[in-house]
Amino acid sequence: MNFNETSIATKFSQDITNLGVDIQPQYTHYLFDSLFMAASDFLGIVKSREVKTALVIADLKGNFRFAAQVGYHKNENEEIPGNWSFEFTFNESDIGKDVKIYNSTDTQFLRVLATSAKDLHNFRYASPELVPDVLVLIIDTLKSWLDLNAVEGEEKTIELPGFFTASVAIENGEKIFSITPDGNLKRLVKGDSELE
Amino acid sequence: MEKSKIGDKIYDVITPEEYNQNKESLNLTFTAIKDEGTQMVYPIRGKNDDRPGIYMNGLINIIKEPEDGDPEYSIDNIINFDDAKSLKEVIEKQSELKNMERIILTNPDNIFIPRIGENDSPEMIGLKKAVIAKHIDLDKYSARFGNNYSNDKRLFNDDTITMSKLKTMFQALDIKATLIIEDKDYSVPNPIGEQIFVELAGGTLNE
Repeated sequence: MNFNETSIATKFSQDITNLGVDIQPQYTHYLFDSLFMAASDFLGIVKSREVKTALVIADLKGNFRFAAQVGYHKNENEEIPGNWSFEFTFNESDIGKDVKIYNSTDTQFLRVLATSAKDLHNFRYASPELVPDVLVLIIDTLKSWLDLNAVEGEEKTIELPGFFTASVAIENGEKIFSITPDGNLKRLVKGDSELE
Repeated sequence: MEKSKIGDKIYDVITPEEYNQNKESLNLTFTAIKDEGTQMVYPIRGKNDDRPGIYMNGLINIIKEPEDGDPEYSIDNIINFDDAKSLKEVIEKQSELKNMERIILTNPDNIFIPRIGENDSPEMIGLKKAVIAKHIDLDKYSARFGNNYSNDKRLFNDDTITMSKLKTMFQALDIKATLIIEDKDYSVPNPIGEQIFVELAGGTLNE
């Protein structure tokens, strides 16, 4: 299902009022677009061949919500360049050990987010201090929709074209959530190198 | 204080930070936000507008860029009173601002002609006749009225007006008004014996 056909925009615009601000539903996707673009752009800047690098979104108490991570995989034949992998996840356990972690409250990331907002839709946050909470709400709204729409024996999928595909399936009674970045974002992260 | 003429309005130009600190007290109709990054000035626009500027949508502000980098929107078009180094410079900048306002006021888009009704009080008839004679677009004077412009404009639908509002109108519209107090005729008991002239309004609000 396309993002625009879901109730996510309406739900987000309702829930954001708890932060004392509002936004019309038709602009909600601006926030989603810019977050996933910025996460990719940021990791493209800070990635390292030596260590996996992740951008983590967590609430103010540190409860994990989402991560984007990029890693470099050397080729066994050292004469051939290795590959970059780029993933999104809702699961904290997907972040391995020895990963260089940046939080979404990182000043450098927030600058990249502001640039993405401007480049994509020419907007800026009216209250920059709310951005960390807004990012958490973006992920919570997305995951909540998946959670509510999960059906036994069927995979439910949302696509925000150009940015991500997220899905939920029920396996052995347990809801399995996943999210994968669009090919455009993968190319953004990899720069001049190759992705898996 | 920074000012900039964009279209048919003169705007107070402020930074995004100044907007966030003072948004409750600003007259948004005449406020523009400057962006040091793009070197542009964006007037704050209402929801039903579609001109270039900045559209406040609660959580986010969306910018609509002017076509072809219209120089009116450039940060170079700002008159900055804060960087005036002498009284002479301040006067020059004020003069520049006055000229900008004159251009706006003397280029009417929609001439305002209030209807004079048979029940209009004499002071209301005087005001309406003066406005008709000026042949003006009242909306272009809206900055002179401040936040209360819409209410003040509606007063032209009434058949009477208070002295206080009459003075506000005269001042906003560059009308000099003088009240002459004198004896009704020569035969009244206890005559004043002279004419008393009282200037009710004599210039613009900015003076």
